[in-house]
Amino acid sequence: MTTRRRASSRLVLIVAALLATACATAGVDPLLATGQALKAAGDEFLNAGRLYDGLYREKKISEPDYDQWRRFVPEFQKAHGTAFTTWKVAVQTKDASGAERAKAIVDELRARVLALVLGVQLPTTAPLAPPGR
Amino acid sequence: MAMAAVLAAPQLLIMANSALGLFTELARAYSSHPEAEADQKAALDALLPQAEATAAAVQAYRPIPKVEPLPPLEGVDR
Repeated sequence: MTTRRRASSRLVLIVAALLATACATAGVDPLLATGQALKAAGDEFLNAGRLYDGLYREKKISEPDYDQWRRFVPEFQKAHGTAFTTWKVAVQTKDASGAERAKAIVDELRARVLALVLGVQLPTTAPLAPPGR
Repeated sequence: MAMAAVLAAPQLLIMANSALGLFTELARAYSSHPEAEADQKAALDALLPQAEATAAAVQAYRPIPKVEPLPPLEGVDR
């Protein structure tokens, strides 16, 4: 009985997860989903900019670390601009494949912003261990 | 009991698959429903200016420029 109950409760969990996934994707218009992702990517980029600028002004990140951000900014702006234009045209022409093309660019951009934010090198405030330990 | 669970599992999977298929069909039917289409159009219309403003802010952003050390002044006694 216990085995059966465990098996069926696992199955219920799997089905619930599948239903949740289907619910999240089946009814959403790809144009809307891409637009939301585009806006989210832009907001994440601006937040990352505020973070990097603040840390740089407070001299909490090194020049090479901030330089990495400086180099990334025009790349992001170019790709985000392209994705935004593609999406806007897709909205006007109701072209779902255009929305998907823009979404692919946006997903890549969001991953890169996240990697940059996670990779920012902050100096530690913890006391250094005495030498010889 | 364990045997009963093993025997019941495929039936449960078939039922779950049917339920999932039915749900997906319902979701598709709803999304192509005129009311749902109107909702999505309204959401898209509301999103468009917001996305546009964010895109403009992205393009306007400039990182802090690098401060290059000044070249030594000529003709100035140190």
